[in-house]
Amino acid sequence: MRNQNRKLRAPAIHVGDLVQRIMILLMVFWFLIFLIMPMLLMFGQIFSDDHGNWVGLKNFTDYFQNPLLLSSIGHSLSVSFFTATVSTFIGLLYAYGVTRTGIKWKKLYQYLALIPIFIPTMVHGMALIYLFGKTGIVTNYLNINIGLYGKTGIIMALTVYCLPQAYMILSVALDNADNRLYEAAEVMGSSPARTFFRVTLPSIRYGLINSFIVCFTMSFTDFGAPEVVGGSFSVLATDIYRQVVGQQKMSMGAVVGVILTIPALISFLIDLMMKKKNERNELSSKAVAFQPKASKSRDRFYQLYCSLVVLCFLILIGTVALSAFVNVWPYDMSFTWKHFNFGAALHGTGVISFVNSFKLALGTAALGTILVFTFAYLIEKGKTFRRLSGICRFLSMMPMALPGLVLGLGYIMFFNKPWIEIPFLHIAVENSFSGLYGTFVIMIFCTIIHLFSVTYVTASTALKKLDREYENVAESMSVPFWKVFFRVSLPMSINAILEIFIYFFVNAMVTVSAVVFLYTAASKPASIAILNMDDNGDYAAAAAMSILIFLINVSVRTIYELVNAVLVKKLDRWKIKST
Amino acid sequence: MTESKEAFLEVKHIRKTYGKFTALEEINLTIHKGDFVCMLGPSGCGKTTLLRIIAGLEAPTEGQVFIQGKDVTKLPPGKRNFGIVFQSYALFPNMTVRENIAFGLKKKKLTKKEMEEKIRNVLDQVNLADQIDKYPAQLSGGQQQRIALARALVVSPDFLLLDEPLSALDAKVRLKVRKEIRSLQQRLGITTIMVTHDQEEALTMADQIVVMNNACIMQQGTPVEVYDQPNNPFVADFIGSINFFQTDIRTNANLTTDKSLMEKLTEHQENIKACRPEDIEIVQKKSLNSFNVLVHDIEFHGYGYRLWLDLGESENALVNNDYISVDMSADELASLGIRKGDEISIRFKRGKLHYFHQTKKQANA
Repeated sequence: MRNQNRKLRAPAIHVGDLVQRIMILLMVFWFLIFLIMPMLLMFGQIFSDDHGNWVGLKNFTDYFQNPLLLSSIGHSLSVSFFTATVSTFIGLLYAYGVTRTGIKWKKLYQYLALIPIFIPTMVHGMALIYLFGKTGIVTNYLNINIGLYGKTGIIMALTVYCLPQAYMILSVALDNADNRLYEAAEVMGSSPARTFFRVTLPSIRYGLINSFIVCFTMSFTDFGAPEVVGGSFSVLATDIYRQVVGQQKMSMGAVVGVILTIPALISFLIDLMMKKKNERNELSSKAVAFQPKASKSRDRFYQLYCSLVVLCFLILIGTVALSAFVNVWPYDMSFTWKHFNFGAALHGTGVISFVNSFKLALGTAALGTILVFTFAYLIEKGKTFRRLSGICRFLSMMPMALPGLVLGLGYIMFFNKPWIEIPFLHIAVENSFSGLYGTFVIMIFCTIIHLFSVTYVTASTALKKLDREYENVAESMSVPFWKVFFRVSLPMSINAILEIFIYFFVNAMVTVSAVVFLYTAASKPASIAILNMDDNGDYAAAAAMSILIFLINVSVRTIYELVNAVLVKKLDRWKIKST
Repeated sequence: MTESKEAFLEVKHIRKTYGKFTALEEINLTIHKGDFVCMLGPSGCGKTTLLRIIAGLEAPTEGQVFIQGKDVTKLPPGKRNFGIVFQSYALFPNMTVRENIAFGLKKKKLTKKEMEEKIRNVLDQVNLADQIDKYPAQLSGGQQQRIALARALVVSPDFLLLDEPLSALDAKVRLKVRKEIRSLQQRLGITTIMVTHDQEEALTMADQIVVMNNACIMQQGTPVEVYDQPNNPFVADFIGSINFFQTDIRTNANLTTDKSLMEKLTEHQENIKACRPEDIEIVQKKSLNSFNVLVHDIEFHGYGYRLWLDLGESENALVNNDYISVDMSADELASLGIRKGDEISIRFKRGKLHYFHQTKKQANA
């Protein structure tokens, strides 16, 4: 009986099946090389010294005996807690104004809220310095010194950096309102405050927690803002950089990396748990769209509030823009183009950096989109190797729990080693991937992995919406799966694909943490160049470079919006009518 | 009736488990060429799983599937040469009707002209030739359903599989499409297996009905067979309406009740007895083979009345209802002058009283 059983289990292999199997194996292999191996080596490093000798827990005892390093944990925690609380609160009011009131120019507020995501995080810090720093205009002309450098500055910069995320998460949560509930509350004579606390708040609870943990993790792992405005106030992210780049202490860097990963890992787990719970909370298909009641005083408040937030964003980016076009901020405010030459700064490598960044962003976006969408298809719609696909689904979500710095550190440790020693066995295997070290390709792959989880969720959500039977229809007609992929799944998911592409592009353009350990002189991206210029005191050149990044991102985003508008019209024809 | 036909599809000892859950248990089934077979059962009974195993979309845990005598258990779906219509139709929304139907034809090396001809032909069959350039979203549910059927038929399959093809349609459209599918099937003479949970659909469309419940086949037969001679209480209850009663009704019997009926009632006094509402007639008081009952309630149903009759027994008198139901026309009710609370006599039509063992084992009148 068992024997017969096994025979039946082995399904007949045909071409489509075979191709799918090979693709799934390639996917596993890709994850193995670009995610699992670097992480294994990175976590292995914490038990060994910089020469690769086993030292047990010595690195940890060293770490916990160093009061300077230890203080960073507290710093990081308090900064992140503040930032997450403040961003979530400001973001909640902003999102409420845009989704639940009758204010004007809602579309405009939606777009302007995204401004901070188009520039690297340290630029927010730089803008704050131009305003509130030692030579800032507020400090010098208004004589107000807010004591920017240190905790205050980091929290301010990170809040700006986190706000778009908080706003996006919360507006999605607030958008999912069922008007029937509000009508029921009204009919029962519930006061607006009571309705807010008993109906609105519970329905966005998941969004609030999610916004908090996302902002917390983002601030905890961010490197750019503390590097620029932190002064002597050290956080974990700057420690790891100093240990690895400054002092070449790989093992200590790895220890800090592990500590840096803990909150991300915890929020990853909380997120997983909440997702399961939140499924029950999802709106029924019969939900009626929310209609805000007329209220002039409320609308006036939110109009003012949203305008203020947007004004802050505009002032910050405006300051950066202005400083890029004047001779010497803030003393000689005459107009000049000279900072865009990048001649003096960094020995004239500025232009190259900009081209590098563009190449990095384009490469990441193109390759990343293909990989993410193909992988999501194999995982969601594949018919073979289901267990392997399940593992890959988990691996796709894993980068969410890994800070960019930690990934980058893992990449040096894996790709920089010509030989990989297998612990306890005294066997060394030649590492045929070490050739990738210092190349452009490795930066692209690291950035793709760094941004993988968010894009994967987008792709798999789009694919899950497609009827599972499409593949079965094709199979029943002997049509291979890739035909369904190219002729149905791909065109039907074109919105999601564009979204993934733009996400990769914009984020690769501004990322620092994923590439800070991996670039070489020839492949240095603009975000790193900004950091170097800032370090060297070439503030104007750094501002000029930031503005270039901002402009590129905004124009790519604008093209995306235009293409999307055309596509939406086309897709409308295909929309499945509910029967 | 079916003996003369050759067996087209055979399912032997099929078992399917998902972990600890058993979806199908020891399924044996023979389907004859040209038959329209309905697999009927409540949701979760395994009927769709069986269909998917026949299609090759799922692999059975044990057992084999034969098509025209050939073991196809390990053959991929594409090699089994069938057409399939899914519950959701699964029409590709981004393709026109023409492109949808052409999808499966691409593989067969046809010239453009031949392909167009085939598409036109099959669209004529489903009376939708004028919709050829529309997208699925522009069609009504019934039209989408027929396009899905056309797409399944265009590759000239040996047999057709329909997975609850009508369940997404409005009640009125459903009646229309039901007729169309049946007449198309008869015109083409194509062997068809349809999964449904709607007993009326099965009764009106099928040549053979396979009633399933709890991963097992409960009964297979023509619609008349499964309706008139249900093998077990499940089939009797699932198809049509029926009165079950356990009580020993000999005390209600009139003195004139004949011997053979009395013997049977005695023999089956512990068993469940069942009779369909239309097989109960109201007769003159104390006439032959009749039983005395009380009229508990009279309900108006538009087309007529339903009487709820009390057997006079207290607890557990009936298994499925509290009272026995009998249908009658308004005229009949008026002429008999029956009112609530009256005592009347009923008679079970000859041979229409079924007996089932408590253990659901086969037992029949």
